Amino acid sequence: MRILKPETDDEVVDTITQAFAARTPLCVEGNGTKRTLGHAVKADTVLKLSGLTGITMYEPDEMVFTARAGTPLAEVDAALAKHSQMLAFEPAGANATIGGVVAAAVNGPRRFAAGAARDHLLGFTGVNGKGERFKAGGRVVKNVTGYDLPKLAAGSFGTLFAMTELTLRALPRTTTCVLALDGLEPGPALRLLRGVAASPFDPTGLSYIAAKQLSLIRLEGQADGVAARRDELCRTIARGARVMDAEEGAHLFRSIGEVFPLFSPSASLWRMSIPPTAAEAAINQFNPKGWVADWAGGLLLLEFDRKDANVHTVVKALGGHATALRTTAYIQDIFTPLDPATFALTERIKDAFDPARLLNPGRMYKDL
Amino acid sequence: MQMPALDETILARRSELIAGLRALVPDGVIADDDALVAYDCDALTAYRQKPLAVVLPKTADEVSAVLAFCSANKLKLVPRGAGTSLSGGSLPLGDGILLGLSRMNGILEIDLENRCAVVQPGITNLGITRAVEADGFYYAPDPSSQIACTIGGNVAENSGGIHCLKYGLTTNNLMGVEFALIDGTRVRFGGKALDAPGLDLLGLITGGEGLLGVVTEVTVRLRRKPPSAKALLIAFPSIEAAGQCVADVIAAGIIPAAMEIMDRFAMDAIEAYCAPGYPRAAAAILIAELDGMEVEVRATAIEVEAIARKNGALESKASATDAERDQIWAGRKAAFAAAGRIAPDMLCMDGTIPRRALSPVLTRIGEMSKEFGLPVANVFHAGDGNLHPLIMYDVMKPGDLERAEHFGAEILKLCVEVGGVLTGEHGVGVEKRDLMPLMFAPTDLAVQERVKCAFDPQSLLNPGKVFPSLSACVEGGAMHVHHGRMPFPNLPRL
Repeated sequence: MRILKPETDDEVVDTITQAFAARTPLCVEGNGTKRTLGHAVKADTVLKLSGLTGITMYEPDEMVFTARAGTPLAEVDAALAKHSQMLAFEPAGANATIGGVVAAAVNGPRRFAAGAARDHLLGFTGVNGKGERFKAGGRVVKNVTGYDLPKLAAGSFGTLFAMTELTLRALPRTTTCVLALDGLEPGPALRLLRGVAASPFDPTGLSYIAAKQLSLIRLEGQADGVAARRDELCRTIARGARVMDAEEGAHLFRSIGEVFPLFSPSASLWRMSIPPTAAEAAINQFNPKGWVADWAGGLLLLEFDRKDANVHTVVKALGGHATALRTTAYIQDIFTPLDPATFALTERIKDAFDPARLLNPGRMYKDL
Repeated sequence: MQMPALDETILARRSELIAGLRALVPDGVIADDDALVAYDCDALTAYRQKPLAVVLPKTADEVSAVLAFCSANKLKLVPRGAGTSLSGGSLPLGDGILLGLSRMNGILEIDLENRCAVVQPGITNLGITRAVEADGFYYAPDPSSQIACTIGGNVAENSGGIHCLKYGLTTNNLMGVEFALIDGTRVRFGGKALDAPGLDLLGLITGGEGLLGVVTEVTVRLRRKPPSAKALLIAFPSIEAAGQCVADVIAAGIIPAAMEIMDRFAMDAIEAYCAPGYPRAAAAILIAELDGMEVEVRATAIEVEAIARKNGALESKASATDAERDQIWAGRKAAFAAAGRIAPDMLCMDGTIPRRALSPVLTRIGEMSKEFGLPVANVFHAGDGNLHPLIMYDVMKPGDLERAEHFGAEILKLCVEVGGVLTGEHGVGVEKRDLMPLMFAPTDLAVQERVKCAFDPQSLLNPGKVFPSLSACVEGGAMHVHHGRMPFPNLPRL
């Protein structure tokens, strides 16, 4: 296993150019914290981007910053917090890099309200599978100049290009209030979360931890407004809710974003994105040993053992898709398979960026 | 501004091709010369071209059939929603068809519990909101043409509107599409569940300006209408002060629903047009809209007004009722019409800059206005830095159009120089196509052109738009084909 850790963009270009000439597959990663997300990459050479560090631009009143791809997420969070700002898509992960959380689309509980990584990435510089360095997007939110490659970058798992620098939005960190309801059964809990999602109370967190029968509603914004919404919620659809201690609330939402802390260490875990109204049906179908609902029921984290092909078929029938986060047995399809036409298109796009298929081959789908 | 050379073989086969199209869409092919005039341009009226024919399908199957036909016959096509594009996005080609989606204008499903709606591409943007507002919902992106523009067009252009600052663009409010590829195959990206597996193809095709495929169905995110909204009309002694106020509001952690700035010239034009009563002494006014629960709106309004006072605001007025709010907005919404009244013709520019560059950029635009001898009014989406300089000219005066375009190009060049982009919401189309090298190096453009090849290797979808040169998608690389003219045309091609 050869590990290459460039420190400049030119070094990244050289590494990939040489790999292209020799047709050497590369495992591209930030700090390698998400290696178990997706399929294992068959490559003897690792291109670690964690050597590209540093916030190169941050303008709080423009709500924008640029950081090199290997900058630790913790460093980004800290720099933004100093100006009472944050990454609205709430990525979690000790030791993760900013490039990594975007490439792996690590989106937290606020995603359903504030958008995902793809909604907050404004621009980037990357090196494609031929060693060509290019830039895409810009540093402003209103930008429809050319194709929206930043959308393609988010969630591409390093299979199209290696990002070397990213420009993202920084949004204000505001007054937060977490309401908790104890003792609701799954049905009523999920109905409540859906109801709050469709209400004018503008929630930024709607989760349910089944093991504790704990329903959580997070409100954020201007102080008086948060108080007014909290009171109105408690008077109406969230009767019986209690205000949770700030630290405890923050900790719980962080755990939900990180997923693993809420389940036993060896459990088989699945992550499913579904229409919120399908949550109850999904729980009944899979009968999990333990589960957590997030995004008002639009995201389910479930612990159960089942043959993978079955899982994807069932989830698709519910209108969603699944990811095997951790399995006790070998799994052929970690991500829900694509239909043939979409797969063919994906192949053509892959070839447009990485014609020799060197970057993280097989990470998302076989041969891609 | 050159369009690709016309394909003579296609023109020679016109009758045969039209007959073939009529077989696919029996009641929806317009080929009569006089009738085609109605479709010869979009809202970039300086450029007109009658298409070979207009095809108006009623179903997604008809769309697929037409695309397959175009593929088989190497027939170019230009997709069109309502034709409201200000950048020539649906400007027809003489050797191609105009594929109009306006007959596919139905609502397929309203799913309030999952907060989304599934609609056909030809329904108007406002039509979606109208269908759900009685239940207290709406579709957030609100381009000023929303009464006419279609959601399919919004997807193609990644349209914005004044509420982008808080609620995002089309791409941030889209959950899924059904997309017809050039060979007629239809694929689904996304749906009612968030974050589809695989690459974010939904995000990639949004803003694709009709170059990657044709939208045949859209699933949009619906939002709950905020219980209350208030507009603040604040007058400033200078653009600089107004701009600084906006920066300070953001720095205070407040993101209003909208923030618009207008300069004196724009205000004068608007006053003459519809007399909204804007403050006469102000060099610039800021309209800020706050929405949410009433308590929140009132508290935030107080904060914003305090910040405005700190920045030297001359006066401030807050709406107390919805009617008053509409009144404050009426003038801003009439800006384009008001400016259009002053001069026979108008070019509406659309660049985005970092907010802090507003003052120096407007100063420079003022200087350029004198240099070019053309008046310009400025309205500005202050919240997100999207500028709309309105350049006034008279197409009947020889050289005026060229001078106006040159002025516009210089403004966009300046936008890019200060760290901004060529277009914030109108799209590149034909209007800014040749300026793309200002923002993108040759490799950057090549990378994008290769994406195009993955969707449309024969370059049949909207050629001549967005990218300055047509790339022939030759295996292993792109051959540079400049406006239909091959390099070294005398050499045999194998």
